[in-house]
Amino acid sequence: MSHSRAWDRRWVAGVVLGAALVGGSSGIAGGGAAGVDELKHAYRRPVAIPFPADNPYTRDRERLGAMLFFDPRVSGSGWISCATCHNPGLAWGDGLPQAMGHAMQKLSRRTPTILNQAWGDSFFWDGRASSLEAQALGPISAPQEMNQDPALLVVKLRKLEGYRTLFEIAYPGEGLTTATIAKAIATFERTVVSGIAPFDAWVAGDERAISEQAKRGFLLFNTKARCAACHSGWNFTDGSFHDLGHETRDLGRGALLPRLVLMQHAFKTPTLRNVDRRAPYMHNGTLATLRDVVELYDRGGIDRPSRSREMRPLGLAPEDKEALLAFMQTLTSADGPVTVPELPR
Amino acid sequence: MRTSRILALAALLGLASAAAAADLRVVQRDKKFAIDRLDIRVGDTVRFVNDDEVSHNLYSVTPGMQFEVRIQQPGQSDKVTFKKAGVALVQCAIHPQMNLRVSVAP
Repeated sequence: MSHSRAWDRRWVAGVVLGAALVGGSSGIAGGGAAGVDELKHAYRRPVAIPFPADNPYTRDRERLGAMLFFDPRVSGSGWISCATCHNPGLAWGDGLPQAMGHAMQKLSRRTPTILNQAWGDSFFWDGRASSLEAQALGPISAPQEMNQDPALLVVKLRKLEGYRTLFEIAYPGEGLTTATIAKAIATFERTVVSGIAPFDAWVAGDERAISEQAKRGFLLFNTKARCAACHSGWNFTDGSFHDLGHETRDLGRGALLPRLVLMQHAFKTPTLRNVDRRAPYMHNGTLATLRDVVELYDRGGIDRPSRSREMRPLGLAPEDKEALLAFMQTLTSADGPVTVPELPR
Repeated sequence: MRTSRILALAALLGLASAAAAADLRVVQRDKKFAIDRLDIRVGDTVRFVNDDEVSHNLYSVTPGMQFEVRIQQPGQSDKVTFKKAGVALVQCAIHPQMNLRVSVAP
């Protein structure tokens, strides 16, 4: 059947390679190398970061955006910055099950990483923003999060000569407005990209970059475990929305699309880049380890009308799960320290 | 002229076509629509075909032109008849990068 041709190719590659592994081959680069090469091709890194036509990149915009991102005065209280939750030392998350907001309020969802958001189609766990520019003002203005009236933020920042100058340089003639604040932050966020991971080195041809177990995990990821149905491409996400059958009362995208059964309890598929540095997991941080996440997928989640049609019991063997975990650990890059900019006073 | 326009569009985009507008097909493949816009007339019927490896869930929330296609498993297809003039944005609830603009002329 034509509709299954791509999966068929992956399964053929899987069968061939699985046989090689069972037969004691030295590894995935054995008889099924052509199939693996085809799979690898789908995971090659892009050559450039995409920027929108109405907010093209300049170094000045990135620099201004970085300042705003790290400036706690962007919040109503003056002590929460974007980086408070999107901490570069924690893979641009906060490591908490659920985020902390204004006045230490516990929020209902986990802080998503901002890694690789330049390639996103929709933003927030429920996809309610269609651009990073639209997203940027959301947490700033939300009373539970940064609690800052955007109009008053403009007034506050205009009092700082340094910002007035930087905005004029970055967005000449556009002024210091809520729109240019959002555009600058979005520009900086687009530059936050996960670096070269061992997996990338393997895709580029270094056979020793990852273990044989991880290579087998990559194969399972694309075949039996069905992870690549959604965690596809170099960023390991297609940006799709699914109810994974995970216990939650949160409607997710269903709150935006109440008539669509499949969107109830559905959340955006996150990137798997640097995933082993971003525990705990899921939209509500209720799974402590990646192993717990693999177990959820293996069980197939709660069978309910909204559950994604991609979810089903997988029948993974213990060694399959270990291989998947080994593979996911190869997606973490050593990105090094991030410089916090000096802020205008 | 209208028929030729539709046939030209279908041929250009590699879509299955038929002599009658009522048999227009829009294919979903690799998490994309085969086209990003479609010009039709009131009363035309479009068959949405899931020729993908994953499920899709098409809908439109354009005022006056709302509809939802059932959850389509790979290989399934469904028809939608456009009864009002206007521009409907058809999206997949699962895959937000899938957008099709359907212009329905009176």
